[in-house]
Amino acid sequence: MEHAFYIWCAYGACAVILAWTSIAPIIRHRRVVREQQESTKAGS
Amino acid sequence: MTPESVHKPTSRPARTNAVMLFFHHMGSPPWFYAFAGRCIPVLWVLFGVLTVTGLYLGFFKAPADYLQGESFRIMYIHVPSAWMSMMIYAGMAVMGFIALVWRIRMMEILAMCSAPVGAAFTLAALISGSLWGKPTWGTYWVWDARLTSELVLLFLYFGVMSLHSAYDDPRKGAKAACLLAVVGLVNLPIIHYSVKWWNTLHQDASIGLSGSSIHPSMLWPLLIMAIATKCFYLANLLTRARVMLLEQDSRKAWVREEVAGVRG
Repeated sequence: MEHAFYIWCAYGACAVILAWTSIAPIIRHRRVVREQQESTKAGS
Repeated sequence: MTPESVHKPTSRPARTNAVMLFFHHMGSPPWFYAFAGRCIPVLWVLFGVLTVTGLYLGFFKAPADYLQGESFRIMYIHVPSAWMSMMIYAGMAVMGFIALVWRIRMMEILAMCSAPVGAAFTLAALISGSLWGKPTWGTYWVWDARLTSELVLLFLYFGVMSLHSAYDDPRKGAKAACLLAVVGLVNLPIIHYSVKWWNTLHQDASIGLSGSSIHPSMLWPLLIMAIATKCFYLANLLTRARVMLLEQDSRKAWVREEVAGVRG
């Protein structure tokens, strides 16, 4: 395909950016829930 | 009860009350947390289906452009990202304004959670645009009005995010960041009209309220991708808002109950 390098680079870069944007809050959510559970256990 | 009475259309005051009730519920953190948890999977599924459909049509059904050849296919990620970068900023500024004037905490949270997603779309638009610029214009970057004003938008997003995290008290940080978001709104018309006000390398808009100069076979995948990016934004926004709520309300009873139940 003509200009395939530019097309793949553009989609690849956007996929990485958008994937990180969506994964980061999910990881953070799990961490926050885990911390909350640990503090609840420690409290009880 | 007759079938007519069952299917009687909802009257306007009843609909208004339902909308008011929805917004009233939105102000309640436990209700919002549960509501967002139910919406997020649906939005991700919609995003996946629309993205696969849009990219399939864009790559395999739309013909190559007579002037730009295959490189025009970058449009299917570049244009929706650029639209989202401006739409999210406008939404963030409106939510920020509501948060400042009426002091609604959920609006503050939603405005602040919009900033990283908006920054990601702006970065995606800038990178995909520069990779489209090389085969089309012969250069990755020029300091032209459209590109520069979009870069300023990225810095505005970074400014909002930095200001929000610069304060120990998250609510004080959010107030300052909301104010910056509202002030930065002035950049949006500059981005939009930059191609008209100045002599730029960037082309004028091909889609407007009066119609489109793009052939339907190329236009439909673009519109599908535009809806897909909106689903992505909403799913991301709700996920981030849930995390921020858990962090801010960590000592409240509803969070302890929620965490004990471990729902998502």
